[in-house]
Amino acid sequence: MYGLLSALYSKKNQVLDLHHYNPIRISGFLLNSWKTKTIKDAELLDQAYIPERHQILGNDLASAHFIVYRGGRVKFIGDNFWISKDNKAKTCDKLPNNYVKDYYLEAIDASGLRLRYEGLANLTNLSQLTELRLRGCPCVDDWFVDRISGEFCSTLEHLDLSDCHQVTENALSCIYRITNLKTLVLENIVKSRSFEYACLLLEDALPQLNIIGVKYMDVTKLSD
Amino acid sequence: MFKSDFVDMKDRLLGKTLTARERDIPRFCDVLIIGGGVMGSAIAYWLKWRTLDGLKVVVIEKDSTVIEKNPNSFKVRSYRDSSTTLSVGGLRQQFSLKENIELSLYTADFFRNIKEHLSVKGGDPPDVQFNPSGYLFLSAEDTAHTLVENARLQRSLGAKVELLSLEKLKEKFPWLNTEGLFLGCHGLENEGWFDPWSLLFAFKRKAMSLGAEYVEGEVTGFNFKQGSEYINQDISSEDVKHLEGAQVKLKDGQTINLNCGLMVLAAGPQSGEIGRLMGLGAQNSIYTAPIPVEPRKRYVYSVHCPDGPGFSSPILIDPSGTYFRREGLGGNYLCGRSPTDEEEPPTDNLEVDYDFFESKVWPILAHRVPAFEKCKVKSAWAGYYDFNYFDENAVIGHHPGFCNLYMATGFSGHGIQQAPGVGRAVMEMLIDGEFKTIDLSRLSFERYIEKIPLWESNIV
Ligand SMILES: Cc1cc2nc3c(=O)[nH]c(=O)nc-3n(C[C@H](O)[C@H](O)[C@H](O)COP(=O)(O)OP(=O)(O)OC[C@H]3O[C@@H](n4cnc5c(N)ncnc54)[C@H](O)[C@@H]3O)c2cc1C
Repeated sequence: MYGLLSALYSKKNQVLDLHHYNPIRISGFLLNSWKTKTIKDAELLDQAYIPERHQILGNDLASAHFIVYRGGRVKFIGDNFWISKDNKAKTCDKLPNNYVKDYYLEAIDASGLRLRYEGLANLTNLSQLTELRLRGCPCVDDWFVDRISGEFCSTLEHLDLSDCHQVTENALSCIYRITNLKTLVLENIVKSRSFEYACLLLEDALPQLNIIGVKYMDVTKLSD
Repeated sequence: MFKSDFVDMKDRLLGKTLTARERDIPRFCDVLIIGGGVMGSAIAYWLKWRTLDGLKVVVIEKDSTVIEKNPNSFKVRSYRDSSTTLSVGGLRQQFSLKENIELSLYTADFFRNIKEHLSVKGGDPPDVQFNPSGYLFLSAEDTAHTLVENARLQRSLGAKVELLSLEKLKEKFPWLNTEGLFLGCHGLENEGWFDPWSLLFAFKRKAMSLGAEYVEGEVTGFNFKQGSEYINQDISSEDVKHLEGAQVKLKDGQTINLNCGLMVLAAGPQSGEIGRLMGLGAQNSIYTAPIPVEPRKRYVYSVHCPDGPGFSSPILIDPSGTYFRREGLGGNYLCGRSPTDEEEPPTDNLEVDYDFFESKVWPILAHRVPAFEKCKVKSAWAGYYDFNYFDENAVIGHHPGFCNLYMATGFSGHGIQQAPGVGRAVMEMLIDGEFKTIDLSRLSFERYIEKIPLWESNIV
């Protein structure tokens, strides 16, 4: 009895919201939102911030572990190769399992991962990170970009947000924070005119920045 | 129930127009919310979210839709003088009070997950158009210590802000004139602006889909019940009254009585006025203490400045309180400033004083950002701050004058960004009897009765 009922309410709020599961209310919409929520909760659990990981490995290596074991790639300063995990292998040999002094992350490639906003808690204090590739990450949205822009505001030079279809032109409002940003790749997401125009204005405002992947509209078309 | 159906049918058959859609208008409810702005709607949403059919919630809004019909077009306008729809829609964590910081952190979290909270079946997912530009508060030397203290508090609560020295300010914002400045505080995430309309309608739509009822009408008076059963021995029944319900003037001129169990006052700038309708206003007794909220007119100017800082600028707050932010992509900026007590304009209409821009706003703006020397006012509007003249902070909680009256008002220009958290807090207060998510007990009405103000230093 207890076990069955406990599945129905979230322990966090300690609110017995049984009435939310009244059979009369159950609909496709409700089931759908319940399903998305369950998937999301599982992902959040998978990407939770584990303080021990950072204490044992140090920030850079801990972030590298986090990314590599979820299918991404990382590159350290001084290395000229990317480290990633073989699909079949259980562990990644190239990644040290102990803290290594002066071993800093230079680039992270999380393309295609379902990296969540909350998961970004694992990518903090990376003092030398200059490149971040988030190509085709389905969960990257404006809030995600906002957090990146604050977290890596002094180091990041290359940011790839191609195919992140939740990113809108509103996200461009925070790019100015990344003072050293040299390239911003926005392939396949700039689909409206106002987004294109916003890219132009952003390039105007930040002289060092080069935006790649935006096919600017024909100036002649503007007149109509 | 069936009888009324038959009466309705008979009326229809006889061609009688139903007087004021009589059948649709509720005559009693569990919780009556006065004011269907963002606050009232947020409270209604959270109450219904928590209780679903368990509680009948009615929101009274005097101005929810106005349809203007012309021969060849028609326009729907509403909420003409609600503060919600006339606000600038800024979200920031740069406050000096713990409660205000926590509320806006909660809002950032709520907005980020707004699709989970406020989606309705068959409707487009809500989108508040959040522009994460950040805020930049500037200070002169004499007030720099406040900025430092505030930043420490904000960080300890989880907000991300950085303090910028003059050199850093110059380096990061080359278009800024740093004369007279000493320090800046720059928000690194969760700050920016959003669209107030979208937020209001997302809350309203969701609240209605969960079963909250909106009644279009103006509250013109109240019915009281004396000697209610809530009285204990210490208080004589003359002092404490019970609100039986409100008199609501519907759009067709008819006045009805709407009885309720609990009443929540969320009427924005008009809250003090509605308090007077309840007989609140005398200073001599705590039972008739006025609700210290009045409308204060604030102007917002939209200026055109093609050479302005554009995408390289956060929302900037000058030490004088003058602010500006980018608006859209056409080289336009919104700006304004709160007048001093002597300059306070009359509040009987929403006309804009353009001289105020010329003499009070523009000189400061052009001094701070020289590019604004060549700017032109394109348009302007005025709105009412729901101003708490006691200490410029929200009043959330119970009023001692009536056993069943609660308030959520007096936000003084930073209310819209607190709506999600305050709505939730009011729900917790009514249902759980205590604050569970964010402790807002310091914002209760007690501080007014005890005359201990709770000041917020970052009022814009
Ligand atoms: C120019 C300006 C800029 C602002 N900028 C910001 C900002 O950047 N950030 C921020 O967080 N906040 C800002 N605010 C403040 C913010 O808009 C308010 O604090 C907030 O909207 C208050 O919401 P509310 O629902 O309490 O009030 P309102 O939106 O005013 O809602 C109250 C409702 O009650 C109704 N009502 C009144 N009397 C009666 C009656 N007798 N019967 C029935 N209904 C009645 C009114 O029609 C109204 O719709 C700004 C305000 C202004 C004016």
